[in-house]
Amino acid sequence: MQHVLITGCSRGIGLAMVREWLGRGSAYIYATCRDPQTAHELTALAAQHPDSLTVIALDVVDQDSIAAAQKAVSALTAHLDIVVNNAGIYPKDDQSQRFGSLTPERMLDVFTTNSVAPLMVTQAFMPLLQHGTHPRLVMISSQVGSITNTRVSYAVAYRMSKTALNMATKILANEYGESGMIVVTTHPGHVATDMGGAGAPVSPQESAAGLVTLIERLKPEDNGHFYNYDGQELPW
Amino acid sequence: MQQILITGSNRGIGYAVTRELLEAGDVQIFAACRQPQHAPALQELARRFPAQVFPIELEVTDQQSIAAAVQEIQHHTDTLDVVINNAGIDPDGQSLQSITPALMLHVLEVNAVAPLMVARACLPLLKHSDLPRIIMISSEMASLELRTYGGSYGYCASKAALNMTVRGLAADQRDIVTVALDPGWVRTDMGGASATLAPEQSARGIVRVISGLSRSDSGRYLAWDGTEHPW
Repeated sequence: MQHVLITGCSRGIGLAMVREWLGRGSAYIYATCRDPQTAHELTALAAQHPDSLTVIALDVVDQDSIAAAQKAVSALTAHLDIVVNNAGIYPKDDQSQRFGSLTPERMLDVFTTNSVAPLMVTQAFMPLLQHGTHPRLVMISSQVGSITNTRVSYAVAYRMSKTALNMATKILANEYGESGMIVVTTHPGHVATDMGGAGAPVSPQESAAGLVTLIERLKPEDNGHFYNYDGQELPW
Repeated sequence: MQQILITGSNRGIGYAVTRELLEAGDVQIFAACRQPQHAPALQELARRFPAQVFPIELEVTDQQSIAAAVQEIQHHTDTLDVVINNAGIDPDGQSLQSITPALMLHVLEVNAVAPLMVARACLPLLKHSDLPRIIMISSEMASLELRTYGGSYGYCASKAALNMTVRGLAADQRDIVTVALDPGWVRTDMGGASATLAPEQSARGIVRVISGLSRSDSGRYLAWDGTEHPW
């Protein structure tokens, strides 16, 4: 049974990935979220699946919280096989989104959650991952972080944060690929979540099924690449 | 006459580009740095070329400082033809094991957010130019494609994010030519003594690339020698 840690599991794609892995019965899941007390769907799942799901409190932008979560997970397992950095934000206010209204403060908030936090979570859990079997490190990024494909200025802070995340992922792949780890960054699709909006074309279940399939099939030659949830490669 | 703002002009590539611009032609240079009063080389240049070099105080992460710098430029001119966002940092402690959130965020702030804020503040002046250009001094280390080794997480991520701003600006400001420009590996305080290029060599290339830019170049990622990098 593979040991999987996923961040941002209270809702959206993270919660859907937990459900997908529970359905497959192929993983023991450490599902993290900022505040388990308010994550009712996730905690209900954990009550139904005590043998394959543990909920861990983790606020990814808080170093003390990361340290506490790392300690909690370490008390339960000596290794992780898969780490999925899924937690992220897509603020919709003009100060985060529109070129003319952007403020440095709001831009840095986006970077903090979407670029810095995944690296800090990775820093903390890397030793457990290095003890994993066939270890895989996965970032939930976005195709709007593709510089090649960007031809608009909208959501530039979000785009920049995902480009930065993709670069950090590429460097992690360079650094840890040689030892057999597979590190990839992914686009989950435009998913109908709180973030993606109700009208988005991909359901959370569809996205999660695609991502879990992708992750379970990762091969060494996939290391350092950027994939759509359906397995198609995306350009930097 | 070309009117040019360059940030981080007190040393390294910024200073070399400032000198090269003076050699190359009829220019007025607003040479910005954090503390012009503590930039002796720049002050010397301003004494030798009093009608061409204007040291400007600018802390690129401070919005009030950016506004004040633009206001000071506006005392001299209502036009900027070229804005060169050169100021940047590459501090120690950027390995996976050692990097902290504060350090990484600071690198992102200086190298990716600030250039976008400086560029935006200069738009009213750029709009008066016949061929307005925004130059983001990037790095080969910004290329996801070309990055094949580890380390330097903050610097590489910030420069890749800076490259993204080039695409955003190129899309948003269709009348302005915006490019990412890799200065090469230069023997400066940042590049170190074993770097392959003298600052003058890099600066000559940078000025040549800037002079040769046309509208169709907007949104590209070029190197000091005129070649193009993959994102």
